[in-house]
Amino acid sequence: MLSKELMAASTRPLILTILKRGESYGYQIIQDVKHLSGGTLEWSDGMLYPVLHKLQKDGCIQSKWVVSNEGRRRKYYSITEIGLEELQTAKEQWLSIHEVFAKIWGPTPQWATD
Amino acid sequence: MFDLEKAIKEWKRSLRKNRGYEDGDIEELESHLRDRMDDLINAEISEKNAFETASEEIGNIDSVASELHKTRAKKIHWEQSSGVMALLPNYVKIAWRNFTLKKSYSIINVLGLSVGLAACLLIAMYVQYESSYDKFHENSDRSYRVLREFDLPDLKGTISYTPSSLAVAASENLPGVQKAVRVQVISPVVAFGVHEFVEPDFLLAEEGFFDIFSFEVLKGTPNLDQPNTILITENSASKYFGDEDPIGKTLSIGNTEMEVTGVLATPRSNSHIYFDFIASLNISRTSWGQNNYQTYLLLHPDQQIDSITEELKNLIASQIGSNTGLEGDLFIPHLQPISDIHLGQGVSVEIESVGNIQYLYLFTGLAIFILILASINYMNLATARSMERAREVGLRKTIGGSRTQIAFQFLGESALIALIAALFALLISYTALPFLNNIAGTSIAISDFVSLENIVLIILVTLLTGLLSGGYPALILSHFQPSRVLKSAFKSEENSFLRKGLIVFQFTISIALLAGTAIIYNQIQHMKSTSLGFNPDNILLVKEANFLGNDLNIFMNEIKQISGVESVSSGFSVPGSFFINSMWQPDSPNSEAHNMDYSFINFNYIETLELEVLAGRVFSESFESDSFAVVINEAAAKDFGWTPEEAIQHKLLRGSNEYQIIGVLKDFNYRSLHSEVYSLALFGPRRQQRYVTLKVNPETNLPQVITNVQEKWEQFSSIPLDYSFLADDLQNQYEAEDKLVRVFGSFAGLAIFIGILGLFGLASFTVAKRTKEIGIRKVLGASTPQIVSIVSIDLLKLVGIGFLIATPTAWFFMNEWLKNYAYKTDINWWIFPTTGILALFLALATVSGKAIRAAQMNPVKSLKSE
Repeated sequence: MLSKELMAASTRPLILTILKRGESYGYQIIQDVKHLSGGTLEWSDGMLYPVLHKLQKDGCIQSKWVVSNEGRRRKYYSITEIGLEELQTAKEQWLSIHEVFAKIWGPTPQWATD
Repeated sequence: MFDLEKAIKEWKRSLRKNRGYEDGDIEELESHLRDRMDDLINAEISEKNAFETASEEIGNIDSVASELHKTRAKKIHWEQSSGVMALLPNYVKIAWRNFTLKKSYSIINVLGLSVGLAACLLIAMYVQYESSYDKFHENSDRSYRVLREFDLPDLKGTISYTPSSLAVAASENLPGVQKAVRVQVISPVVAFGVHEFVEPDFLLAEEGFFDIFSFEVLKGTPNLDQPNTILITENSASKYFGDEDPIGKTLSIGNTEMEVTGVLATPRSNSHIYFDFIASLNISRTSWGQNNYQTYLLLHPDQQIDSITEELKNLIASQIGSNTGLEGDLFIPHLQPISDIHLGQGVSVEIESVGNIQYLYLFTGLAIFILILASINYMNLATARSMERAREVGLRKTIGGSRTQIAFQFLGESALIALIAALFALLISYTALPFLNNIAGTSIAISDFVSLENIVLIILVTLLTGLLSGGYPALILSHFQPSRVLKSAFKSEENSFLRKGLIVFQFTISIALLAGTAIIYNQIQHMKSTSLGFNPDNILLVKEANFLGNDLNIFMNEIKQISGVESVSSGFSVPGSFFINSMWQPDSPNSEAHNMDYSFINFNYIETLELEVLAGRVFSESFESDSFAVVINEAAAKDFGWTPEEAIQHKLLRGSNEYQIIGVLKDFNYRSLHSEVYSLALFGPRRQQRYVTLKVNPETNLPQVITNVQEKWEQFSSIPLDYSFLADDLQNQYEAEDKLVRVFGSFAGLAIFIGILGLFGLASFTVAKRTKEIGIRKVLGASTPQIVSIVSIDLLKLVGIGFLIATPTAWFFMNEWLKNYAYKTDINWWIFPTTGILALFLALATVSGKAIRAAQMNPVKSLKSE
């Protein structure tokens, strides 16, 4: 279980990464996150939406309403140029932090996490 | 049975209750819920459980809503980072709303302030004008006039007339003196062909005049060292020569022909010298005996004034000593900078009537007072109305307004009002300037006043007024505690004591000014009506009688025949006119010489003026020796240490001439009542007489008498008849006082007006605040007069207190002022109650107007108010 602060910091790049692969809607994004993290990242589902809206307000993603085959209206989000840039920046930052920790702590042996 | 759609509907309704959600949010969440439920149902979970799980997984809907709201809300900076500038538009908006919402208060504020500022502006113009005299001359910083001060045990005084030798001696002996110029003012008849006029503004001046005085030359050369040349102003040029070129033309001045060598611009009015003509002055024989000239000195640059004065003093002492044997301390020279002449004090006989620097101080004080009065109105109304602004202050403070910020807002508001008032004030003073020129006898032009310094000054004074009047309200208003003022029942009477104090102050000033005006007026009336020791009534003066020459006696005999003329005489001087001044030696060997006024009179003069004889007799045609006789006044006898009876045993000596004293007159006020009666000697008939005096029967047809006199005059003289009534001339001596009472009275009136205006504002405020109370009183049976008195009494009490303070204050200051006069009125006790009642009456009229209206209001209406 990640700390609240780390969750808040990692959510944005995570969503941007998912959307970089292609447009998606809220429920699908949640499923992807759960699937990708293997359960490490757990939010209450509703909390995704404020983050999405904030990203949209900041111009990182855009949205449109789409009616699906079964007649359900879904709001699809897709990444923008600004979002791509932010993702790139975030990626560099995360990797550099990762690098620092990797150097300090060395390669993580399997047993250390047990 | 579980109804999924109904459950979803209810779920959505619960979302809608939270304002954090907008419609799109709810739809998005709904589609999420349905997707999740589809997955769960596919996993063989019942609809009911699927709904419960899915909605649970969405989490706390309130925290989601709050997060959603945060993403939408603008970021608000609760700290004071935006600063005052960002709020400026808001301040202006609020100020303007307040201004338009409360029109009557705003009008009172702006009107009061603009009248106050306009009064200030006018006074500033007047003061600047008065102190600008003779500063425009290029060399004014090193140009001086020599004053003659005599300082004897029983006689002190300063005159501006000096002997003709002074200038010569100064320029010959004092290396520090660059130029010494003598000037004389005469009133000759100037003629060119058929044009012939008496010219009262005629200067005789020497070469060097234009080195000292920078009067503008339009044409020709101002060359005064050529004898019999004359410079004329453009006005005189067109008066005598029309459109023709005056240069080279010849004007007759008396029997002398003078060639016009230059044309001058009309001299600026802010100089102590005024002229229509300047003729060259040529003095062949100089003496130290007669004081006939004004002497001006132009010093070399960097010359020490003290050392020059000292040198001059020694020079005069040696010259007078060697020339006449009189004591040197009869003539202590003073060098008076020419720019000080206009506001100079205590110099008898000036070319033009001078200003009075004390009046300038007085008026400056008046200006400041009026401005304070106007500011007080603003202060009072603003604090009185502070309740209405209290909530605004509370709200501003609640959302983070600091005290300084709120104080700044209200200061800004008052500065804005002051600026608006200043614009009106400019308009008012522009309109009122001719009026000021009229009552103050000035000729101020707006263009004289427009300068960078003055503009800056006006803006500064305006802002200062804004600060002064807004400072206190700002302090009060910014002090309010939000928690208190936001409660609806908030009432504050904390500042009412100060408010009352300010009203008392206003009325103290107003009543004192009013009383002062009355006392000045009284003094003028007193001077005009004081028994002068002679009877000036019904005396017609024919002036310029010297032009009759040898025909004087024939002329006098002729006009004696005119019906309505009771008696005729003549004299070199009449009361109020110029008397010659000189030293006279008595015949007793141990007595010292004394300075005396003297003149020459004809037979019948003393009878015509109804002068009282204390001892001896008056001139009579039956005594041939009377041309060497003299009549002196009581003061002169006292000077020489004689009783009237002793005096007629003595003689006055001058050179080899002896004059027998034949009579002593009771002192009469031949000078204005500003000064005590001086020693006077009246000598027997001479050929030269300047005035013919006619006693006219008051019952007679006056215009007819004047026409008849004119006919006779024209038989003997080529110049037009110049006449006046002695009583009128004497009234004109008090021009300065007349001017003072007019200016002072006008500004006192303004002060009262501002005070009344403020009272009106407060009265309407009080009445508005007590509407409900008045309604209840009416319902309980109070009559209109009762209500009016209840409402008015508080304000009237304040006026009463003002009166109590004003009375001793005004009495003290006016008593000091009256000390300037040798003959002064007693301060009438009734002036104070009268002005007090007048102020009270005005105040009552102002307040009761409002109160009566409130009292007559239908209580049903007034009780509904608030």
